[in-house]
Amino acid sequence: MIFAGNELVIKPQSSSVSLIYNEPLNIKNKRIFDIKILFIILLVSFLSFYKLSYYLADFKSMCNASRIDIVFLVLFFSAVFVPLFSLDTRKSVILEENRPPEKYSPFLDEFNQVNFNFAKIFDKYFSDRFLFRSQMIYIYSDFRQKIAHNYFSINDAYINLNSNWMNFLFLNFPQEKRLSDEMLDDYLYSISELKKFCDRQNIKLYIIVAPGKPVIYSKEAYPLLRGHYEFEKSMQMQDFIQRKIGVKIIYPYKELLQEKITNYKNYTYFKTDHHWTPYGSYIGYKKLMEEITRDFPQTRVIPLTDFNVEKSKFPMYKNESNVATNGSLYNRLYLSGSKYFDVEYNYYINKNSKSLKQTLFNEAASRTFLYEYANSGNNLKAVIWGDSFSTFYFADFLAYNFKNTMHIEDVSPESSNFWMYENKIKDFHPDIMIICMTNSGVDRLNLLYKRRPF
Amino acid sequence: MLFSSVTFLYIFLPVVCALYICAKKELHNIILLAASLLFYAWGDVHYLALMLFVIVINYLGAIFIDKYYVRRKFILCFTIILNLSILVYFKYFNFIFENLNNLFNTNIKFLEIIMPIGISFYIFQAMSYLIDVYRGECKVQKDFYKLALYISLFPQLVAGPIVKYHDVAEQIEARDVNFNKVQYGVKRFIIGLSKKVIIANTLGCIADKIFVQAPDTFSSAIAWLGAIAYTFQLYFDFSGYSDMAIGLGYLFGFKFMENFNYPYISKSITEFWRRWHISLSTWFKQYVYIPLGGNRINLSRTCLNLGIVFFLTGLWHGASWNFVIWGLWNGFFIIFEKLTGWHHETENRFINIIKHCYTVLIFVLGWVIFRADNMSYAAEYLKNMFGLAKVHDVAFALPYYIDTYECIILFIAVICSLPLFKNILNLYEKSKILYSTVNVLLLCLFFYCTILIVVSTYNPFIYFRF
Repeated sequence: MIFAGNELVIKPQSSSVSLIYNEPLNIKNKRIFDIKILFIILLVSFLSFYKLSYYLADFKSMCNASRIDIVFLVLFFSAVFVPLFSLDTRKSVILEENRPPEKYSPFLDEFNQVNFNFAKIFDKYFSDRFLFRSQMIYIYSDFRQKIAHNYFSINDAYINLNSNWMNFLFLNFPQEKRLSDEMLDDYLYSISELKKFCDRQNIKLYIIVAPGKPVIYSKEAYPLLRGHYEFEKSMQMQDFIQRKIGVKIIYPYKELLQEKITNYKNYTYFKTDHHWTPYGSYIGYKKLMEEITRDFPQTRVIPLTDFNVEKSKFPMYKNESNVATNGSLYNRLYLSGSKYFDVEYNYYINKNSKSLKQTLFNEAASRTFLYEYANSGNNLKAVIWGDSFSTFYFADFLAYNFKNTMHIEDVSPESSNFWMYENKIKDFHPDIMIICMTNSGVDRLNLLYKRRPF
Repeated sequence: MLFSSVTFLYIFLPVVCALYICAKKELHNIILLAASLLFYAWGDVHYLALMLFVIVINYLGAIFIDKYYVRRKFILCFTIILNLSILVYFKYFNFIFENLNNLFNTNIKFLEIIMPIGISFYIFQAMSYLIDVYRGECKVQKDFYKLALYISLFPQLVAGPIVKYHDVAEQIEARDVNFNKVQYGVKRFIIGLSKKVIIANTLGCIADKIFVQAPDTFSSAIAWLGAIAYTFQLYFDFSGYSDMAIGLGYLFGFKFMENFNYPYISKSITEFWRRWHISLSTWFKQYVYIPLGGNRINLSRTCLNLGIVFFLTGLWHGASWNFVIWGLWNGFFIIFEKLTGWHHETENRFINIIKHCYTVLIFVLGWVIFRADNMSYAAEYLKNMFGLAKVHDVAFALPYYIDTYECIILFIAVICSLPLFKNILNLYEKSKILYSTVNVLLLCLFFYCTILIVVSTYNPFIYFRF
């Protein structure tokens, strides 16, 4: 670090460096003042205003139109013309929506063929860069909050204003009370194919399904009164799969509920995010390991005493380093202010974390974490495959149980196919395969291997 | 392209207005035609060819009707059948197959047909032109591009009002754009946009949350809330679109007929249909009801003609039995009123209240049938409304369905569905303060609509990934 005048200059000594902030930063752009540009603006404004006033004065006398209407129309047409010339092109990421803005796609592609999706893509491109888009959504969110009573929602998320617990609205999710025969069939096919793959490769398969937040925090999820049939459908699916092909699906519902009753302040789900906390994922990890240790007694359930505890008010997403954010639901609600972060969550750092080697590979459809832990006390290799619930510290606990762990985090489980990962898994030669997903409002276990076109 | 989209409001509309105003009068029709074709192609370019085909067959059909006087009836029938065949293919083919499969236990596979946007509207407009030429109510249009403009004119292409050719023929030939028309058009457009975006979309959220659930998972009160929310959603959505179409028409010098006249104040279903979707009901009256004999033959024939018209009206709305039953539901009450004289006006205030309540009940229940995915859902829902269904697992409390903001919008919707502000119009033009206030309010509404449209473009990626 070098202090040069009034500036702090940081020169990293290697190419892979992270700058970590414990709390989210508010970064403002440096303003530049240029007198030449100011002069041009003033001159053009004077000429335009003079010309416009002259025209309007003539217009009024020619058409005998009301001045009020003239001003009204001028303001209206000015308003509709301004955004056309002022696209917000600075954004590379729309944080609140967890995606980059839509890229421009020309009407004729590089082979001079007509792009039939031009209109749809252009609509998204223009609306993502619409002038003051984020500010408008924040204004709307603020307005709706101010007039809300107990509960406020925007798009697909809502907040219980009495407790600050946030959840998804189940607007587009399946509304059935029970899974249909066709859906059960899809689950059976998908899990059977997975089991066949594991059997062929001599891999022991474990499946853990993380319950959704409203199932455990149902009272806090008001005005949802229940986890929207998720529990019933989960039990129906698990019983069906166990009966048909003998695969036991681990569902730590009772354990998480028990923890909530006995130890309420140690939250198992984030208030401002839809994921489970590190403590919640530890409960799931513990239940899973109790099953694994029966088949592999050379491993064990690592107790919490083997971890140092750090506290934070924010959900931390796992990236190259831990990044504190406000939470997926907080962002979706376009909230602002720190009053929603009124509780602390425990983050667990293994006391032997320095012995864990970790490498990350980013691919188009997934991220792969490779762990090597020499102090595991065994030579076991495990593959963990799952959605973001597997990443939220679940895999971090597991990484200390095996000598080598490969954790594949799939970015869009509903549209991916497990066979894409088969070769990678075969080359790794694991002893254990762990599938960790949530089924909160979405069905994913039935989509690992797809029979019908989706 | 939708009127309530940022692309239309902030690119298409200003550019087309600028070109229209700056261009010579001779080029106005060409500019509008090009804009209309672009507007339609923006939604789905593949179906632009279909619309052009419909324009061509109707253009040639009218020319042949005019030229070959002896064979004009045959040419008219042939072209009408061609038009209807196109409509049936894209809208009703799979519906027909589904019913054949159910009736005869066959296994005819459905075709993957996507219904082109606005097909019901522009085919009806095209047919109205043909029939008007046949009847001698208007001259045949020899300029292809003027006929193309009439059929494809973007303000009313997607959602009406259904403009009959004889209403706009003169305006296509010669019209002027003046300051008063432009200022009225813009104001009408903003009112329509507000109805659609602020009221209809908000109430649509309430209705969608309720109608997506099994009818035995919410209480009767919620069922009524869903029905009432949908009643207002439909009215403000449809009348909002009509207002926008009429406003846009004024911007370009056209005067379209009014499509809604406060239908929810009606005291009979007969009166309701004089106030609701006026362009459709007059279309059916002029081209179906009157040719069938109307009410000139005898009472039983009149009832039959009404039944046919409302059967077709229901069918026009969608390829599903619940639309047909909704149409027949309305037809039944119109026939009932005709037979009993219920629709005749009375001075007795108490009877008028009863009549109004009866009318509201009929059309609200009718909208439940209209909204439901199928008839079994509609039946269960209606049972729930009257407390006849057993309610099982209740998944959501009342605030899930309607919050404070939505309550306010529902209240505003009730007020705006009444002609309370009609008398204020006289004061509006005389008082400068009121005039200015309304103009400022309209600009604020436009700004708020923009915010809501921008919020609706919110499109999160559910999985955490940058």
